[in-house]
Amino acid sequence: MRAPIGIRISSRRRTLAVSQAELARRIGISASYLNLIERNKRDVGGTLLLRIAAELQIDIEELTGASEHRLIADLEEAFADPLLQPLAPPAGTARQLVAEQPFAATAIARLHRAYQGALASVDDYANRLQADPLFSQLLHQILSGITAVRSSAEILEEPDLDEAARARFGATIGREARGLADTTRTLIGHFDREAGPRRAVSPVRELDDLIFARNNYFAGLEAAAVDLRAEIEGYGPFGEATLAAALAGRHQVGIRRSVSRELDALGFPGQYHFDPASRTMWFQTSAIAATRQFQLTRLYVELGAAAVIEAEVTAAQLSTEAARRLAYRALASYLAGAVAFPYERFLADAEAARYDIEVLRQIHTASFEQVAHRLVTLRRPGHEGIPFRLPALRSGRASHQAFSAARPAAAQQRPRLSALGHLRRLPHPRCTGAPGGPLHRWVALPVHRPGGNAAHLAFPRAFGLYLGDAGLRRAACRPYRLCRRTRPGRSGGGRPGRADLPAVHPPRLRRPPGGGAGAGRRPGSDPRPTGAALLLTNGRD
Amino acid sequence: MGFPAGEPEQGGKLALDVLIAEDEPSILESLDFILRRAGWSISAVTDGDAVLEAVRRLRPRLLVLDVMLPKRSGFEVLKQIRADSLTADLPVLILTAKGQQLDRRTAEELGASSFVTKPYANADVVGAVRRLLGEGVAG
Repeated sequence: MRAPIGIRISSRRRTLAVSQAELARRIGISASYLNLIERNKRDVGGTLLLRIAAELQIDIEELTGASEHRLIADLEEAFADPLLQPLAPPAGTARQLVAEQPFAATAIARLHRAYQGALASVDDYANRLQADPLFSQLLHQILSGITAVRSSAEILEEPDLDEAARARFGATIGREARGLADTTRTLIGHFDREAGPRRAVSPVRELDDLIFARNNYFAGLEAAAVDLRAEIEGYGPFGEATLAAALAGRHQVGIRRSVSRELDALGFPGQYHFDPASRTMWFQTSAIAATRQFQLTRLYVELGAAAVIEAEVTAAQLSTEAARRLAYRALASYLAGAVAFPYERFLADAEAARYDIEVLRQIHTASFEQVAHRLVTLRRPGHEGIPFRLPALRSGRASHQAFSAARPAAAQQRPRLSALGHLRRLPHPRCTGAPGGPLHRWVALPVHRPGGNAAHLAFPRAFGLYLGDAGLRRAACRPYRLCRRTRPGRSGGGRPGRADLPAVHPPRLRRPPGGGAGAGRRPGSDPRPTGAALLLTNGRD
Repeated sequence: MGFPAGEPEQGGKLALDVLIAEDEPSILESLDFILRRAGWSISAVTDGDAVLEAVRRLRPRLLVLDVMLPKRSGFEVLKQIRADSLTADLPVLILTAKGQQLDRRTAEELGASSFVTKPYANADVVGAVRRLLGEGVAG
């Protein structure tokens, strides 16, 4: 059903009323070669395809059918929604619809995306309520009080109750009723404050603002990290075994592993938790090395440097307890990252590996998210890495949202992606950055879930590209391409050779020739590459 | 807070019917009352750590377990009970809060025998205990 690329080229060329010979001349190939391409007798790709697309003034994705592919994938995902399962859409519906009713197909895909977004917001609000410790504590108190009152009242209704019991349960009802009144008052007060102007800012937003204000870099934590790292390395070379020794030696903490799932700190089944009473850190055996190393580091910094984290939180003058708690958690993670991935070394490795996250993961026994998170914090004044923005994608749905948001068509929904990871809507969404301002372009690449149905596009991976210079806008609108990963630039003695794995790199960024688009160019600007690909997955660890 | 039901029975000579693990004094008081009145022998503990010890020592026929316990959550307690071959078959009635589907799912995964949702009617608790102890309605 999908027109082969040659036919698309020839049809587009004829629409523009350009002769085959003329197009061949403009793109620098012979007319006979173009003829072969248009008849699908020759493959076309790479820079030649870019040139053809440029001459035909058409998006390369349209030419290759990639956008159509994605639309089909979007529709298949929409049809796979549990909501539509009773309709049992026949196989091939998506493909047929895209071919025959492209407008309807696009409309369905957009509506489904909007629906997914709305669902995500609902989940978000529900989670926020559940996650609010004060709120859930008050609810628990009210529920306990009502349970006691109801049960006691039923006892009082029993016919042959002796006087002592009657008096006892009467007193219970009175006591619990007074307790309920107090709790309810506190709850109402809580909501009153929530509604007040001082509480207009959500804790998450407040944390975001703090991170933005500090440009993702916390000098105090970085300094503490150096000391903590040295402390840990007193027990041996940095790693899981040494962390275990340091935790045992300094904090009398033991480590336990078991196959079954246990509950984490929030009471949900998880992969790890620390029990302060028994001073035991538990890991599920399936927890990966990166998770274990990072969580042990995190525990070490929370036990050994809580005061440092507290001081940063206090200095931030956050307005609510919830924001302070959030900030404490985020900054504890920051500090753990700074200890596990020391600034200078990590930056040098990142530069050498051209910010290849896979390589950095291997060098530092880190998960994708840990590496990505550390990359965004490389903002030491005078010694910065490439600027990144990192959205934290916690679920397939969020991932899908970022994926959708990557396309200009979905510019209305394009989230603002802040450093420690909260999806936020842009107040004035633009497909590209404001003139002269920083430019973000989000693109996405669908990937197949390993072992899954190859025809079904699972969670797409998105690539975020931050471009500090508005002059690069045109370059950013070029498609990404799959490249061979090269070895790290410097001699990576002992480091894994990884030339055999495919990697994705952004297109080579060229400044546009002359023209107003170069307005953002500054004299003497940094010759280093100004963009890098950042893979965003839905992994959670 | 002193509470008569919390006194462990001496020597374990009398088989214990129901061990209650609940930290809210008023709820514990009423649970103790209604279950005793229904004819069962009762003992009680008020935190998660004490449950495991009491289950091993008193060998109750049934455990009534609140999910929200201090020191060690009801989930954690349940998991350990199921992991210990001595107590793996003990019927456990979980007291959970209304609307906490996630709690309920977790407890099911961990091997809860039955649930009663707070705020409950006393008859619900008595009925659930009776079913788990395998006693007929007349029992």
